[in-house]
Amino acid sequence: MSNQPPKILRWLFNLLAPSERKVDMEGDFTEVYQDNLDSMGKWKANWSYLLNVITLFSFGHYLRYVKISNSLVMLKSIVKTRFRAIVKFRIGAMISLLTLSLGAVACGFLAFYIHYELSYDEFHTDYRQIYRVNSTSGNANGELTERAYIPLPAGPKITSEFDEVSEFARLQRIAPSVSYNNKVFEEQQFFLTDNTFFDIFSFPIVKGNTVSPLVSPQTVVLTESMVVKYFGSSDPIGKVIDIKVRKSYSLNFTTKSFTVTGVVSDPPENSHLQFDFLASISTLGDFKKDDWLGGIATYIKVKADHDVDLINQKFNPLIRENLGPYLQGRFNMSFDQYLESGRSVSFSIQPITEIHTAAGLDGEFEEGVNKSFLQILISVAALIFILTTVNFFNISFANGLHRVKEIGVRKSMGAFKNQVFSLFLMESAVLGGFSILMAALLVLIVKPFVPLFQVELPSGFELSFNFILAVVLSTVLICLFSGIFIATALSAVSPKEGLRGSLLKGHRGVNLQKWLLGLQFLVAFITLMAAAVFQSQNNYLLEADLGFDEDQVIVVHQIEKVQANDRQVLLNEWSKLPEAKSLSLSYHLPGGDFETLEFAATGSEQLLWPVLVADDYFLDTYAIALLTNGSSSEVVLLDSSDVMINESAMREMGYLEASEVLEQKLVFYGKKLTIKGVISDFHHENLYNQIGPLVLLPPGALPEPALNPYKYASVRLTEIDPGTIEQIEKGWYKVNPTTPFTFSYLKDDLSASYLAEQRLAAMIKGATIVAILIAILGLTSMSQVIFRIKVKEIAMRKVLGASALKLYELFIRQFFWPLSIALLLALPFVVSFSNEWLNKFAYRISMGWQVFTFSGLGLILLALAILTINALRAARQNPVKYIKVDH
Amino acid sequence: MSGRNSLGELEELILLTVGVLDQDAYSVSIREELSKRQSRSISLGALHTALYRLERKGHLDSKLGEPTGKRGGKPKRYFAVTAQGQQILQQVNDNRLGLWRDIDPSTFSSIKFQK
Repeated sequence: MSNQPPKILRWLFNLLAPSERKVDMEGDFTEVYQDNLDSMGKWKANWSYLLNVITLFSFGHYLRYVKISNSLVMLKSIVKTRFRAIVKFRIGAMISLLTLSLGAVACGFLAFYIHYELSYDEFHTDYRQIYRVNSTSGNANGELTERAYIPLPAGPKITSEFDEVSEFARLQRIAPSVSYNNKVFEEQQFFLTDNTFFDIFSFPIVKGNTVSPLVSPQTVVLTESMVVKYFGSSDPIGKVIDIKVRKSYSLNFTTKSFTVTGVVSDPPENSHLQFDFLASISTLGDFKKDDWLGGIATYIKVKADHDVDLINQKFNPLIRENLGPYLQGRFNMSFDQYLESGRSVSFSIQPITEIHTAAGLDGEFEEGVNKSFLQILISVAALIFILTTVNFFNISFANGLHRVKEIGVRKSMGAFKNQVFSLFLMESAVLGGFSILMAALLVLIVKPFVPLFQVELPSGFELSFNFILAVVLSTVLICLFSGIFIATALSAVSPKEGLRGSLLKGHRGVNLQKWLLGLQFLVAFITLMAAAVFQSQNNYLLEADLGFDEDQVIVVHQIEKVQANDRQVLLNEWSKLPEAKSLSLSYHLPGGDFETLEFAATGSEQLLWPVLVADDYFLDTYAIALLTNGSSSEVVLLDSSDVMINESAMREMGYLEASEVLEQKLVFYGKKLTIKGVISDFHHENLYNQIGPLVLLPPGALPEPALNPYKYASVRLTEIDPGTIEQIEKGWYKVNPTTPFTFSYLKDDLSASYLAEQRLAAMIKGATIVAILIAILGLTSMSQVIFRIKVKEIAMRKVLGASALKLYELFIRQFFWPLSIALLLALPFVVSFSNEWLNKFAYRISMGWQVFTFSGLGLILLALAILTINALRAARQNPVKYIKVDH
Repeated sequence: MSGRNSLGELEELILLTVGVLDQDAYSVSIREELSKRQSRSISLGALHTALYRLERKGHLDSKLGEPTGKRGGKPKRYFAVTAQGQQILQQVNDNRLGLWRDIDPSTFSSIKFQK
């Protein structure tokens, strides 16, 4: 856990502390904070720190700049009068408070979320000095891949040769089954690492060996929650856990025992490393010690006054010096020959705090969050902020029009302009205070809907210090900005105008207000239309015809854990079920990752094609049409020298007809394969990409027979129901009683690759709701203002015989231009913005006029409905009552 | 502006506490000592401003200590009462004792203005 106060509080401290005393005072404050952290927890410690900082301000150093006036008395009277006004004008007050709290909660939520995503890994004490070394490698085709790892021996070499680097820690993630005392679990976050891990990162060891827990081989440190999971309340230190792991390229063991040497506290939620187990990397011994082509995530700690560019420059000579001899020894190839073949490799360092937002590297430990997603959210937050400020200004100004007489009286009684100014400023501050109470209520109402946004938030965030601060701060800023505008506008009223109650100034203001309302509708139109476009593209992504039937297929994982001879037993067991229509084993799945391998057609150059390794029943299970076999998807049995390709691959070979390519040969790792069929193109990748070539390979055709040729079993059911899945699970445990049964629905797996888009769409939708609500609240209050101003005119016209329709028109006309222009301005903006977003997808909707018409029309109708209600009230009033109104 | 020679009650307490703590007088320990003896808690910010004011008046002197590992590596500022400070403490105390001396013991033993 971090033991520094939140950044914002430290910033406040820096602002208020006198500079000549800053150094030692910061020490004092930190010391007290850390003591408080232990004795009363983070929440109270933060508040007490804030209190300490604030008292720094109100006494002493700054006192001579602060004039004490009688404003406290004034404040008391304002709170009282505002409260009375709220009670008296319930609807108007509710509208303005609702606007304010809605905007503040939305902005506060967005600000909190953005700050949370950006604060990843800042809890490490020396986070500015921690970097990860990444590598960029190019294959023979010159395609570059950025990887989050470097060769195993590179870390020690860098540390011993670079003066700037003081320490390194390597991390290798494995996914074993861990057992202790008959308890067996599948673990995903099991890491092998160096003992220096605890020197570089700030993950405190709470129990056991705190100095060298991971020095000797076969030692392990667990998190507190793992201790509970495996050991309950008994002491884990010295106990031995056993792990079993699949044979792989990066490990030299399949089973091992580890002695528990320490307990580390669970990593904070905003850590990109989410480990459960940390085992000593020395367990690997000399394995791959000199392999300069392998890879392991390597973090380094540099000296405080480091120069990033200088470190990056030193990598190239290091690579040449070490990779050169390695290539020579293993492939008899010099480093220059390696470069000439088009391949390349380079290293660069990445600050640990940027890992979370730069996601997308190969071998990343966590999903991360897209930077452009955060940028969009920042603009959304800014839009909502402007919208709320404008609206709050509009509403308060409208209410202020009531009070020109009051201003006149105040001024003629001797109030100065700046006193009236501060009166109105304080009034909006008081309203801000009321609205914070309302915001708390709003958060409680909105909270159940937060999971809809599909974003990861710290648990219990609604009570966290930062969230409350963000909401309060948003409120304060909105009040401040709109308060200054209102106060400026209203304090300018001259005593003469004021006493006469003239609305001359008001009229000018009303024009401005109408255009501000137009601005609000502009934002509402933009967000609404963007949300409509996003929604229809997302629906398209989830419902598009993929070229195979993804419904009613479940995928059973971890087939690689099943012994080869048990596999058939398992399949037999499952095919006995009447609900299982078809079964297929495969190493890859549609929508997943594929390996790209080299093929050669006779008489043509190299072809780099992705490969899908599966058994003969794959096409049947996925209902993929076979072009060479007519329409029926009859099972074609392939032997180890047979292969199938898809239409795109056929076209790349230069054939147009499936019959021509049948029985042609493909050379694959020196072996000749016969093309036994052409399958129709289906979306084996997600819809971001065009359908490209694909080879369907039987496992027997692989160059070296793999130990585990299959990872997944796909089962097509007549109907997905829990009973059937239970039967499948039973079958699984009959064959593998020790490996847990894990499965997923194919449809869910496929939609998972669009999570980022769904998240964005959900956020935009939320923002749309807020924007529309605010625009509508603004319209309501605006139409009341118009009614108040026009009431006398309407009464006169009525007396002189105007029809209700004519009066209705008079009323509506006020809003015609602002709304139409908002709509016209919104259209080009949305079209260009959505086009840019849609261009990410190879398969996308065409933006028809329907999207815009329906969303635009919907909002206009809603606006008209609200206006009509008010217009009818105006048209149906009794003229006698209002004709004598003296503004 | 308060005079150079006046001393508020809090200021007096702080000066005395600095004297009690001797070598170990820095803001956090002063605050702890105050709350322990007086069961009165004062915020760190207010204490700092008071210490600053006392130093400006010349009643206190301060010097920076060695940086330590705890406290984020920041040094402590140690305080000591100056000769002027000791003098004014003495003066305040003399005034007070003078008043105590002149009170007739029988005055405090009976309650006046009974209702």
